[in-house]
Amino acid sequence: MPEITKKELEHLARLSRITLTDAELKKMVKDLDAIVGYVKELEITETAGVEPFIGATSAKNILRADEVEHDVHAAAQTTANRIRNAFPASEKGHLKVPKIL
Amino acid sequence: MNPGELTIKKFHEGLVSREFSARDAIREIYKTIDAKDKHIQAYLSVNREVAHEGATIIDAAIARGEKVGMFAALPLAIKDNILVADQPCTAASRILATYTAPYNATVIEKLRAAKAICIGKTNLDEFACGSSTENSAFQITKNPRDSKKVPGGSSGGSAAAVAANMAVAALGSDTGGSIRLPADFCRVVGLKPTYGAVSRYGLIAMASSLDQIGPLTKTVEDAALIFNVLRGRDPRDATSADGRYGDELVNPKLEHIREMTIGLPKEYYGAGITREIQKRIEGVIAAFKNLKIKFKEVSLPHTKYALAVYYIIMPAEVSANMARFDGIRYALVPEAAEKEQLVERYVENRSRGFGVEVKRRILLGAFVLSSGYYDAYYAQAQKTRTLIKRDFEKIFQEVDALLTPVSPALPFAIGEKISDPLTMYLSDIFTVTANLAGLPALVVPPGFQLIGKPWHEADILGLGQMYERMNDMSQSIGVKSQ
Repeated sequence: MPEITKKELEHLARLSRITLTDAELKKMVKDLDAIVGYVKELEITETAGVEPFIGATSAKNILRADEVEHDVHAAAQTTANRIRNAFPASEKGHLKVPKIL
Repeated sequence: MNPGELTIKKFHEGLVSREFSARDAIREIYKTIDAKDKHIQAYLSVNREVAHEGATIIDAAIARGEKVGMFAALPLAIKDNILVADQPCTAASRILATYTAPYNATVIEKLRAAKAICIGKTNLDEFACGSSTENSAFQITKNPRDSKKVPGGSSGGSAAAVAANMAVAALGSDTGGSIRLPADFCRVVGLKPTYGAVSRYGLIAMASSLDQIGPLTKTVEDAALIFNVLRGRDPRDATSADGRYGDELVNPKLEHIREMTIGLPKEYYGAGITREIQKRIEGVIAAFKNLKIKFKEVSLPHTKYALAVYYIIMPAEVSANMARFDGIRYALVPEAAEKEQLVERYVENRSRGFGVEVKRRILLGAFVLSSGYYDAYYAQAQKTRTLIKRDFEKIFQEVDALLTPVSPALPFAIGEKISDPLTMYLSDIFTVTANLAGLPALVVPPGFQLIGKPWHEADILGLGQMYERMNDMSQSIGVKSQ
């Protein structure tokens, strides 16, 4: 019984917005099967009552005043202009995209 | 005269004593790159005009009699996943082949404020996914010490640039060993800071709870000098924080260092490493013992799960971070531009744009996060990560730092491991723990790793400098001829 089936992989690829050729799919199933087989050993680790480590920092949320920081704002404008100039397709300064809905 | 052969202090001395001008230095560095890089292929792009402009401004300041700081005109190579404004930033991926960075990463802003010069962007494994730099979509970088071998990864281009004197120093990024493994393979110094010590703003994210930017340099002192410039809390990176560092970060107090105890974690030794690596580490231990440094055998019992924990958590975070590359933001792969339906645009851009290793990690990440598997893999890995971190916390009550190998074996040949991903992943076995636990770690030639307590870069840099001085390493760094 493989760790990950071709069907599961095709589903995950669809969700990840990636297509694979048949040859790529075959190799991917084989590689992922080996990798999942390796990481599966984690199942036996005794972790009852252990808190998950969800971030390597113990910092808490730090808030700042809701004020415009002018020099940051100016720099942000430069960045915004560079980004606008790099739009692959644009109309009247707006990014043009395929129909979403 | 190749300024690329100099350390930071020697470069600065040469500049302010007018032995060479900034423009001379930049011109000579590019000459070296032109001569060597067609073989080594460390650089993806260079920016001669901008570098020359920067050098001209510094020369004018010196001519006016102004004092310039230690980093003025310093030629630095920057890994191509760190944004330098108006320069390409490809992450060595087809998906960003046409992308130009619209802003500077915080680390680049800090280096520019110190008047350092970015001379070019270096090659990496695509999106930092790899241990050999072979996963680059554009070119293979060769190890300057042996052109048949890989330079290590993912910061292979940066390590090779420093080792071949095509830069005085470089920046890399480290998620599971990507600064330290290339430093080991190319025989240069590499530092991964404590998680949060250096801002990740402007670093193309790979795995956000593991990534850190750090220096690759010729000497430990240079690594300390660069880290001192890069570090600091950045309001634009909520995971960054200020450590409490004193002067000993760059000027270690050797009396204090001599009092330290180094731990040897038994799980990092034994059957897993080759005889060459074993002998090398024994030599390093003997050298430290000569200085009366104390050693203690310790145990980190959850080490055996570290690689599995890493290869669950990291791909999960990679799959989330790669979701943004949709062909609408950032850049577009040419074949995808023809697709007018939204989903087709996404699929074409990502299928053509991403290389196979990135796809592998996206799919693995999606798998471990999917319902039905989430608890068995991802949640379990997060809990085991806590246990790994606790192992270190316990041990650091008894020792000041840990000494370990960097890689289980010597650098492997180009092409040797690329078709077997799991074998490639095993290269990371000694480096991933520092990322999982958020600890600082330093690699020093001939190739050993010092892992320190959180925010205690000064300890491992101090031990590294002590080792270096003892062995006069600074004389032997750098490849003089091809």
